[in-house]
Amino acid sequence: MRHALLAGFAAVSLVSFAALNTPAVTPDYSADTKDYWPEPGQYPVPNTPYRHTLRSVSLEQLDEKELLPLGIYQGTPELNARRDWYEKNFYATLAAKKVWPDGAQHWFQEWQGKRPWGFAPIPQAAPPPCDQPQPTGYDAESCRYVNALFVDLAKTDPAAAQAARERVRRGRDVWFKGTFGNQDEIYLHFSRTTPNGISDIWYPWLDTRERSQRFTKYGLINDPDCTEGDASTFFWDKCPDPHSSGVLGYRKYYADPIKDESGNVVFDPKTAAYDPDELRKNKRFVIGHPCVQCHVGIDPTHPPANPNEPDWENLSATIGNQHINQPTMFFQGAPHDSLARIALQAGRPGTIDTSLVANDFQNNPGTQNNIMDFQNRRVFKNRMKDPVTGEIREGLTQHVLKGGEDSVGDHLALIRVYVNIGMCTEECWTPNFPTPGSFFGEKSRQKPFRIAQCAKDCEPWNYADAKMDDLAAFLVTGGPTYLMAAQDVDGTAGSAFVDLAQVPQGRKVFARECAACHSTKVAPENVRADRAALERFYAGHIFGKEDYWQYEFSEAERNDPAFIAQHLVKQADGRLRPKQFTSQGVNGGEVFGQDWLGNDELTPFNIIGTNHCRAMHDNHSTGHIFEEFSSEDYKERASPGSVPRILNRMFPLVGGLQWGEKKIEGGPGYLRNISLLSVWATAPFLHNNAIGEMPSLPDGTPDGTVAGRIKAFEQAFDELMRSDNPSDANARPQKVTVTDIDFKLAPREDGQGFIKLPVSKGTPIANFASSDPHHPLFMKCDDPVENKGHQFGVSLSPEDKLALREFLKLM
Amino acid sequence: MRRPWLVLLAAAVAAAGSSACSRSEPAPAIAEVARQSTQSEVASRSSTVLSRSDLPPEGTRSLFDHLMAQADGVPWPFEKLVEGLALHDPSGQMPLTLLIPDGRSLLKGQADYAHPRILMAADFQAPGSPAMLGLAPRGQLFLGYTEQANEIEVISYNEAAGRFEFQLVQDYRPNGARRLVYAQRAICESCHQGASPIFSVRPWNETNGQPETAAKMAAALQSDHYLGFPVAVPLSAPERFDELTDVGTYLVAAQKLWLDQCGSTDCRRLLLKLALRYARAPGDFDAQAADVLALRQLQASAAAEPIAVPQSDLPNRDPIGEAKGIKGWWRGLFKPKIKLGDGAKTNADLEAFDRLPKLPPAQDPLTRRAPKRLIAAEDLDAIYALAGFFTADDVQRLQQAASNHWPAVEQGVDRLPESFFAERAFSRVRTLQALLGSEGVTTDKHKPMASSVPDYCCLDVSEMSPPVASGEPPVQLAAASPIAPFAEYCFACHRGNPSKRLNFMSGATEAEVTEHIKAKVEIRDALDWARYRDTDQAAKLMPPADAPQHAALEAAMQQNPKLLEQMRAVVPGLFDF
Repeated sequence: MRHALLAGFAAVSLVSFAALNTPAVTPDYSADTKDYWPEPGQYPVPNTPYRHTLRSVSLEQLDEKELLPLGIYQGTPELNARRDWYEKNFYATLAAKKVWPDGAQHWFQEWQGKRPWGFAPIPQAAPPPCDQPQPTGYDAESCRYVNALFVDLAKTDPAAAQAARERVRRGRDVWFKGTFGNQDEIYLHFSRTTPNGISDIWYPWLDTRERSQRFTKYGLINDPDCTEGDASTFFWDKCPDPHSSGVLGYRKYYADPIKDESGNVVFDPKTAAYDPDELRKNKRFVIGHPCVQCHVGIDPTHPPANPNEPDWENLSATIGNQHINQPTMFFQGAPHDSLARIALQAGRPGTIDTSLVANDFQNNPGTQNNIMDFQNRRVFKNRMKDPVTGEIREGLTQHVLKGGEDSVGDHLALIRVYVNIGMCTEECWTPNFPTPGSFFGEKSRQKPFRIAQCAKDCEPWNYADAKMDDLAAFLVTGGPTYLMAAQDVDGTAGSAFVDLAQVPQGRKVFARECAACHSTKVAPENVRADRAALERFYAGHIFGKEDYWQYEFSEAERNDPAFIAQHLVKQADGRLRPKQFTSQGVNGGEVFGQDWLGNDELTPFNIIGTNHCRAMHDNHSTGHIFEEFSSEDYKERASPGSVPRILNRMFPLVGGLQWGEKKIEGGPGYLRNISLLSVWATAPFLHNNAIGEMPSLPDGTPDGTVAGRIKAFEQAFDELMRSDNPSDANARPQKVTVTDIDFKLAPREDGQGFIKLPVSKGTPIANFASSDPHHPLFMKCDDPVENKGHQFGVSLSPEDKLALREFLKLM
Repeated sequence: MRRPWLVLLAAAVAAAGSSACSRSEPAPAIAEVARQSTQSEVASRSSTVLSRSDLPPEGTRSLFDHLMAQADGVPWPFEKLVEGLALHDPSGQMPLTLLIPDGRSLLKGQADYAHPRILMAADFQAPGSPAMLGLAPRGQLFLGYTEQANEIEVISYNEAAGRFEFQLVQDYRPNGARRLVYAQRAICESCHQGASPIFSVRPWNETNGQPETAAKMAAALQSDHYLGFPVAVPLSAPERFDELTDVGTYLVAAQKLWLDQCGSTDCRRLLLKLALRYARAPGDFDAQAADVLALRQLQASAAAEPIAVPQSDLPNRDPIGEAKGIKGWWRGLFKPKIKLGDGAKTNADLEAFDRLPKLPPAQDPLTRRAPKRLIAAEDLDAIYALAGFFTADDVQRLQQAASNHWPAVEQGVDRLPESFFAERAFSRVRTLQALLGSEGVTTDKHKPMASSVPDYCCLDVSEMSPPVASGEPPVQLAAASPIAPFAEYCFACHRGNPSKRLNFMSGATEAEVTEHIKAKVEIRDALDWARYRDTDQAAKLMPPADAPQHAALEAAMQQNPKLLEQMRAVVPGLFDF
């Protein structure tokens, strides 16, 4: 431990403190593995096969298929000047910290004020190669993961396979460990939004005595490597990785020493004795957030018997945690009646309003996407602007975010998420936020985040920027989770949960009713309204996994010579294989034969009809915070129509009255047609998880078993297939999230100010969460019912609905 | 604290009220829009080849004309007309119908919740027979019946002319004339801006697919049916109607692609070949094939402007929702109401229409709409759109002709004469007839496989009466004209009937009509009720016993027992010397 401290101090001592708004100089850094893994070599690499699907796809292969590069961004001058250094210090720069001139911990930073700090990396060491025992179970799992990839390539080109595996591993480490200094968002910025400032910002459930209930109460995923700690660990979990808090997605780093007014250290986190108040006051550790905070979840194909104590093989890093209870994540230390805490309650389990911090003042919580077969998503051409050079030209991009707002390639889409979860908050983000309490002029509006400025003023941006391609290399290896491959906690096979006899008819219904939006085999526009033509178009097409293709067709269909001639290919071993998965497949249109089950095209909000506040997300519009992360084509999207302009619902008597209409333009107003891969495992439905409810076990634990997911899926499907019109018999019950207490609302985003409006228990949270405090006369968006819309297929016969439901379980 | 809220409240109330009164710039008068639309045509091959005249091009007629000619005229009542159309669907399903009580049509003032407008759309593609190509009216036939206006509006495809025709059945009453005329196209296109059908987008609150609308109609009608049609339908009904208008819209786009995006006969020949290939196995179509790339190059060489797919979708409108709650009440104080009978009573009464309260521009179908999509030279939508003309049965028929050797079909396309690909509208029927003819698809170039060219129900106009334009005035009869009873009891079926055989009371003047009546000697027997009633010849008597004109004539004969004799007297008898 002493060596570790010395290394840390050495790193910090090399920091040069930046003058106001000038970039910090990052010190050279080297670390010794033994400093961080005091007991290396304890974890052998398992070779248990995965139940969920992995994809042996490399960026090079995608490049060969002309699916890369995505975007035109080539990096900033700061990054390009030191690429070798960032490469050499890959693991040393997964995390970072501010270094204040006095070396002390600071919990307050003046709003948009001077920035006296510099930056230093928080040292972490590269893991050993996978042919060696690993220092943590996490690392052993990383090796299990990458060893399962590129097996065929290894037979022909071992070196290429090894390089591909190492890259995926690096990307996985970014996914699980990359925080890039984002801890300061919580302490410096979130504390501005709570009634008692920093006193309200802490994580009660990180107390190790909560470990046995973290999934039950909060939907959090415990780090399988850790065990419950005790006084010797300051009541933090006991973990082999010193930066693991015991909860995946919550990385702990030593706080800076607390000093008194004279500059004397009164609490040195690295040496101080246990203080019962230390967790509440964040005295020993600060918490940074890697991507898995939201994305790691229970593997639907192999759930744990006790979700509070999962093993690594019970987890999926990319499924998205449907069980996480976001309202309790950040503000649980704040009073129950604080605006920040109440506003977060608008999000259902498994969702978070990602535009809550750089607030677009629209209540629009969204699910954490399941990241599956991203290598197989459609790629679109967009005109985009290079944020460094200003050049505008055509580039490739996928549609990222619910409305496809991120549209300048995966690299910037990925790094934007780090910004969104706190990286460079004070340097690049909050300076562009409107000032709370302002109503007029520049201060009352967002300004664009400038990538070029951020790279100069915030070195952690460059740490992250240098790693996004590796992260992408990891993410493209994530595949679907199939029910047919699942095994429940009691040993029941997943196949027991699907009526396979229904599937062929369900396939036909899907082809006619759903595939026009939910397939990457994209039907021409002119037949999308012609069900008979759609059925012909999808004749013989396998929507699901090749392994289960025979279930999609009746015996008569499979034995039809015409079907065989047109859709199957005889292999050397005499086996008939669907042509779609072979080199004879059409066009290479489906990159690897597998349908992604979503065409990712954009549909106007009024056609989908779901709660439209998410579609109205406007942070990517011209002049808004994420302007540089959307393409020119995004900004020039046709207006999808208008919405009523509604007087602020918080006004007494007249609130809710319509005053003309507001035309939607400049990009917002659309939702992309999502993938239905593994839809059986990702209920509730819709962008906000509002269709269906997450079932719970008798003790209140979210039910992550296979049976539980099927129950959630069937219930959500039933709700989805009903009318959303309450006047219809058997319509969906309308869901509107309301406040559960009376409270006083400060009509500012930071919850401060003198005016306090009384809000009664039972008031829809969207009434105040969807109004712009800088322009309060009208609602920013107004669509109270959360589970409306998607009225597709509601008139199907009960038989067809059942068939469709069972078919979808196979996807 | 209380006073600022009151001030704010007063300001907001005043503002909301003024907002309710004020409107953004309304759409111009319909006549003005119609005039502009005739001037807005961009010069292109399709604009030259595809007629924009009110009447169909010489030798062509609308699908509806053909079907009505075969039905011996427009049946009464509307339910019977719809049932008649259903007979063409081999599945036996009734056409899609909807009710719209408070809509946006030209005749919207003539409908309300007790008298809704009835929409109908055909949704089938019949397989045909060895001798006859199947009828394929999916997306090609739409009707709108407004009972209070005694009028049916018809949009149906003209196979030979490659365009939709806009027609009216005027005076559609039990004893009405039921004149089937071609409407003034420019007026229609002021809303139907792509010269194609239009419809609202989700959630279709104006239709009876939404329960509030259906419930309000049921209450007004005190019935769950209106003129034989269900007052409540599932949401899938307006959804399908919406889709069918999209299908129809792509027919229009397909013609533009055929003519404009392909600038040469080589291009059209290749396009047809690829469209048929696509139609055979759409899921297997290889968009990277060499000949597909060649088509792209040919399209690029045409240097045409991108082809606009007309915007067939109108924004949703929710008349009931707008009136709900305190907001609705408040708006209602300022919003003029339309009473049944207000506004235009016919499609020609544009001034009356313009006097009706305007819709918000975003909802007004008169507001110019941007194209749904622009199709560029590198796009392959021409292939897909052209393939959309062919039915599954058409493809199967070609397969059979080629003895299931598909290259023979494509070789058949290669053999078609250059003239076939000249600049004219694409026709599914003409194409199939050419390919299935002796010069078309064969498996042996010395032995044509197709023995006979299949016929088609709805191309031949030789037995059809001339088309009539809506602007043509009805014949003026002198007081006490001897042919006045014919106008009352016979014109409905025998004047303006698309069937030439039955259109024997045509003529622009009373004299002409009289001459035509006189020339039809069978009239004497048809009106000789005294002789043939209760005999095996009774079916020949006119008007038919189940026609409302028959009942009306009988009623009139109570007042004037000699009426039949007087009518028969107009027609010279065989022995009149």
